[in-house]
Amino acid sequence: MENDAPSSDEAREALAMATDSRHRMADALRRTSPPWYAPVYGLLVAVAVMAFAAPPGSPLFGLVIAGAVAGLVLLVWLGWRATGVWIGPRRGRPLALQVGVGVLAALAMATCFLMGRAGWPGWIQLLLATGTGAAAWQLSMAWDRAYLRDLKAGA
Amino acid sequence: MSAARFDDVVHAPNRLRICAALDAVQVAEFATIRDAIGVSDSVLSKHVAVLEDAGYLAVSKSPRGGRTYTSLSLTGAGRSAYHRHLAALREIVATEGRL
Repeated sequence: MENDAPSSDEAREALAMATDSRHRMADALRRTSPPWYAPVYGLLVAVAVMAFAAPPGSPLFGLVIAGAVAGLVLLVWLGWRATGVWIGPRRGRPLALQVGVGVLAALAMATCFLMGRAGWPGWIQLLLATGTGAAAWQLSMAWDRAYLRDLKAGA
Repeated sequence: MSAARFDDVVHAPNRLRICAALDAVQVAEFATIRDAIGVSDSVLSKHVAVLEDAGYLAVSKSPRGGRTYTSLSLTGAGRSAYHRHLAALREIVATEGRL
C-alpha cells in the first residue's frame, strides 16, 4: 500500500507519536503491575526447588511440583487480569533474565536433589530453596525494569 | 532491520498509536489500549476494524464474569508492516538530514 511519502516534519511527528504511545503503555503497565507478583513468583520457585528435597519415590514430590506449576499458571493469569496485557517473550536483557532464572532454578533443584541423596540436613535444603526464591523475586523485578526501559527506549 | 515500506493503513495517527502500543506486547485488552492511547471506545473500534480488515490485527472475545472482554493483538503481517513503516519514516528523516 504505497502512498506519497510524508514530509520529514510529518515523519518526525509520526515517529514521536509512536514513541509517545510506547511511553503511555509503559506508564500504564507501571501503574497496574501488581506489587505481589514478584514475591509470589519467588515463593513458587522456592516451593518448586524444595520439592526436590522429597525422598526419591515419594508422592510428595509430584504433589508439590504440580502445586507449584498450578500456582505459576494462576499467577500469570492473575497478572494478565490485573494489567490487561500478555507481554510474551522478549529479546535482549529481559530474555537474558528469564534464562538466568531458569538456569538458577534448575541448578538449585539439582543441588537440592543431590543434597537429599547425600543425606544433608533438611534445613540446608530449605536455606537453598529460600535463597533461590529470593533471587527469583529480585530477577522478576529486574525483568520488569528491563522491559519498561526497553519500552521507553523509543519506537 | 525491517525493509522500509510506507504503509497507508498504519500511517493514520490513531492506527499508528494502536500499532505502537500493541507492538510492545503479545495481547492486550481493548480497554488497556483505549486508555493507553486516550481515545473513546467508538474511535478505537473504528480503527481496529480497519486494521483487522487489512489483516494486521486479530480480535478475540472471551466471556468472563458475565461480561465479554475483547483482546487485541498484532498479526505477524501487522507487526511486520508496522516495523517497515517505522523504517520508512526514519529513512525520510535521515534523508533530510543528509541534504
